[in-house]
Amino acid sequence: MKQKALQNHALQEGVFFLLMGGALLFYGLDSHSKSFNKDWTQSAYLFPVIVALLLGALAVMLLVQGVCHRGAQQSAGGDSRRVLVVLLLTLAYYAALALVKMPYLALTVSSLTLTLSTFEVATFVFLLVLMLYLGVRRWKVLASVPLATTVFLSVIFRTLLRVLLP
Amino acid sequence: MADILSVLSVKFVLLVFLGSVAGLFVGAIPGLSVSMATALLVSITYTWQTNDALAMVMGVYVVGVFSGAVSAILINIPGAPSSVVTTLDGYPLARKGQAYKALYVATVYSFIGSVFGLAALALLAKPVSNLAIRFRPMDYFLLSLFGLATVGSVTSKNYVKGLISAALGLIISMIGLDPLVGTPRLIFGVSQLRAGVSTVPALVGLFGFAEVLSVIFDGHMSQTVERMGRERIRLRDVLRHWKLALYASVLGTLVGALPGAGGPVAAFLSYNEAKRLVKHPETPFGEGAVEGIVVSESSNNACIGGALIPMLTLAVPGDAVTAIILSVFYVHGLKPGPMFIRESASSFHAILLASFIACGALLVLGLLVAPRISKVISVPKNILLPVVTVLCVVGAFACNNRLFDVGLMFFFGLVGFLMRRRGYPAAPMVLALVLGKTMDSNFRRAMALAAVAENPLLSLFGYPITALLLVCTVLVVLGNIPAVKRIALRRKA
Repeated sequence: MKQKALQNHALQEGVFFLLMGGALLFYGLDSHSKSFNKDWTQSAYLFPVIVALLLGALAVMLLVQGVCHRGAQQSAGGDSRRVLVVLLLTLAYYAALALVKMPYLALTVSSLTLTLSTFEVATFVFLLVLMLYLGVRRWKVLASVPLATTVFLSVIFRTLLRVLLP
Repeated sequence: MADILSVLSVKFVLLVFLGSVAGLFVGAIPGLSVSMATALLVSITYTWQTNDALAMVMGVYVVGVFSGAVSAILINIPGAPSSVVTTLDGYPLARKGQAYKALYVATVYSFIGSVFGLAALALLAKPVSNLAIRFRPMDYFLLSLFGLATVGSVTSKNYVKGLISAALGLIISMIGLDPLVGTPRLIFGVSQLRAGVSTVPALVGLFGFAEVLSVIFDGHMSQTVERMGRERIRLRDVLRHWKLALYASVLGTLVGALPGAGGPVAAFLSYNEAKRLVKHPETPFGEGAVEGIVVSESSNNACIGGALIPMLTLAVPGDAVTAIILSVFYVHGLKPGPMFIRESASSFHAILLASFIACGALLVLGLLVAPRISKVISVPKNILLPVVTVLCVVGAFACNNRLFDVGLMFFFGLVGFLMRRRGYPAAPMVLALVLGKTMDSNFRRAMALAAVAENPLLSLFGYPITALLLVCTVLVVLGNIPAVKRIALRRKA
C-alpha cells in the first residue's frame, strides 16, 4: 500500500508543488521583511506571495486527487533511455559551443560568405552523431543532411539575415 | 483603405508569401508547429523593420493554422492542435481515396474562415479599443486571470494541472527586476537573470525542444501517407456548405476572441453544433463527412482574427501563438493595448494587410502545393528532429546573442517534456509567462489605488466591467470543479 502511494504521480507532484509553494511563500515573506518598503500594497513581494498561496492550494487539490485515485497510474509506454542519451548529446553540443574556441575562417564568393567556425563544426558533428543514434544508416543522408543544414544555416543566418550564431 | 494600402510594397507581399510557404510546411509536418516557427521567427526577425517582421509572422500564422489540416487528412496526425477535429472526417475521407477532395474542402473553408475572422478584426478592433480605454488596472488583472482560468480548463483534462501550469508560468515571469520599482526577485545571484527570463528561449524550449524529446520518447519515427487521387471537383458543389461555414466562422471568431480559448475549442464546439444541425449528412460524421471538415476548418481559421482582437486592443493574447506574436510586438518596441490602433496605425494596417494577403496565399498554396507535399510530410523524424534541435539552438541564441539563453531553452525543453509526460499543458504556462508582468503591475496598481480609497472593496470591484470580469472568472473556475460539473450533468439528464 505504501509502495502504491509512493508511485502515485498525483501524490508525488502534489508534494513537490506544495514544497515549491512553501519555498516561494517563505522567500516572499522573508524578502519583504528585509526590504526597505514595509507597505504590502507597494511591495514587490506581494504578487509572489499570492502566487505561492495559489500554488499551495492547487498542490493540496492535487494531493486530494492522489488520495482519491490512489490506484490510478499513468502508462509509461516510452523510451526514457533514448531521451537521456539525446539530452547528453545536446549537452555535449552546448559545451562545445560554449567552451571550444576555433579560429574564424571565412570564404567569400561574390556576396555570399561561407564561414567555418565552432558553430559550423560542432553543428555538423552533432547532426551526424544524433542522426546515427536515431537510426539513420544511409551514408548519403548522413553526409548530405548535416552538411546542407550547416551550410544553409551559416549562409542564411550569418550572411543574409545578419543574425549572430553561437 | 488608402492607409492600409500605404503599407503595400513588393517586398511586403514577398515576405508574406515567404512566411506563408514556411507556414505551409511547418504546419503540415508533424513535429514542427506554428508556435515553434513563430517563436523561432521572433529571433530571426529581431533586426528587421517592424512591418517586414509582421508580414513574415502573419504569413506563417495564417497558413500554418490551415496546413495542420494537410497532415490531419493525409496521415491522421494533426499538424496543429486546432486540426484535431479535421482528422475525424478528413482521414476517413482520404482512406476512401478522396484525399484530394478533403484537402480541397479544407483549403476553401479555411480561406472563408480566415477572411471572416479578419473582417471581424478590421470592424471590431476600434470599438473594442474604445471600450478598453475605460479599463482600470483591476480590469486588466482580472481579464488576464480570466484568460489563465479559461486556458487552464480547455488545454488539460485535469483543471488543477492546467492551473498549476499557469502558476508556474507566473513564477517564471516574476524572475528578474520587478516591473514597478525594479527590485530584483528570484534571481539567486545569477546576473543573467536580472533582465528576467527571455520569452523566446522559453517558448522555443517549451514548444520546440520539448516536442523533439517527446517524439524521441514515443519512438514513432516514420509515417505512412495516404495516396493522392485527382478526382474532378466542382467549386459549386464544395461551396454549398457556405451557411454552415458562416455559422462555424462566427463561433470561431467569438471563441478566438475569448482570452485563453482558441482553435481546438472552436473546432470541437463547431463540430458538435454541426452534428446537431446537420441531421442527414451524405456520409455519417466520423466516417468522412464533408460537413465535419467544413466546420472544423472554417472555425479554427476564423479564430485567427478573433484571437488578434484582444491581443491588439487589450494586450491579452487569445492563444499560445498570439502570446508569441505579442512577444514579437514587444521585441519591436510596439505596445498593444487600447491606444495601439491610434499610436501604431501603420503596424495595425500591416497586420491586416499581411493577413489578407496570407489568405490569398493560403488559397493558392492549399490548392496547388498542399496536394504535392506528401513526400515532405513523410520525411522520417530521425532526420527532421536533429535539424529542429539545431534550429532551436539558433533561435534561442539569436534573440540576445547569449549562450545562457540556449541553456535556458534546453531547461525549458526538459521542463516542457516532463510536463507533457505528466499531463500538464504548456499553453497556460506560456500565457502566464507573457501576461505575468502585466498582471503583477496592474494588481499592485489596483491595490495602491484601493489603499487610499474610502471604500477599498468598492474601489477594486465596484465598476461594471470589473464586476463582469470577476463574475466570468469565478464562473469559469466554478464550472471546472468536478462536483459542480457532476451537478450540472445530473440536471441536464
